[in-house]
Amino acid sequence: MKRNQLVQQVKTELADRLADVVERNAKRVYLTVEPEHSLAVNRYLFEHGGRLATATGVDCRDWIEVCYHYCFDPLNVVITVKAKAYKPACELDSVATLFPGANFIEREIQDLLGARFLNHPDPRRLLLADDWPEGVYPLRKDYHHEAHVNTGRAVSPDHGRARVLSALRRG
Amino acid sequence: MNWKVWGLSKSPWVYHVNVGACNNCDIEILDCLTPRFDVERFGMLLVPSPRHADALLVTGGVTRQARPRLQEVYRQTAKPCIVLCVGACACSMGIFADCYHMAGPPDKVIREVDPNAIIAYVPGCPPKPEAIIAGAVKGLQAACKLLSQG
Repeated sequence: MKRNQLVQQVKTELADRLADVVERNAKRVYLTVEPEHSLAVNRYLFEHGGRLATATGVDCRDWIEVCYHYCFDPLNVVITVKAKAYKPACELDSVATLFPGANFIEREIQDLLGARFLNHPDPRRLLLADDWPEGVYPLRKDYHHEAHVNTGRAVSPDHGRARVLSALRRG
Repeated sequence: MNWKVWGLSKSPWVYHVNVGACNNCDIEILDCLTPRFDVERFGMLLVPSPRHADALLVTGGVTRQARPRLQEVYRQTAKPCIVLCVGACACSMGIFADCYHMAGPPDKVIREVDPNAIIAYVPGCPPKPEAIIAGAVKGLQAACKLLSQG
């Protein structure tokens, strides 16, 4: 199978499940999916030769975007499934039920961004300290270090950006 | 100079605590033990328990999780002891200052338990084995001077 054949096949067979398809270049394709279709799309890519390289997460203001990156090694292409987990619940079906390898990375995303993975086999905390407060997610855009963690050190809300910019303007 | 300080002044036994380092400083510490530097000829020895140690060798900025553990290890170390902060992170948090998972530099964390702790600093990212050995020598000299006065 050729690279574009695979992409075409994905596009036609998953047409009603994909919210958006972006082909950034020949080697990199992004599929945006709503949370209810995430598991089906992930399973489809896995069953058609995709290898889950890793998953990543981004805070996109109204939702947490969980990106599952599938490598198709013989075809030299990476297809990324961008699954949206809408705030405030941020719920998404866990793909750790399909492949155990996704277990830890989903727990990491759960810790740091607060996405909830439904039917996850082991949803315990992974990375954060035991005394870390519940419901505080350090990689969210609205996370404020001073407000959440008492460091005893003053950090400005913009992390000193205004100070640097005014110094630059003064030249 | 009382016998406790005299005991500290030579052949310090070292307990190594990694409280959040990237492992680079730890590799340099292992380099100190290799035949090229061979700190064991000075009687410096890595020991597996803080109860046997004269010096705590701390690498890395202290993470939230490691904070109570470092304090416990310090409590367990036989006194008088000297703390050697090795590396930029252990001295001043380095690039991890203000990170969400960090509790502060080791000196601050240890001073919460013992305000009079004797702490020496070896900066560098990572410090060379020569620097670590020099830091240990200077730290021990200063500690013995300090302890024999007080």
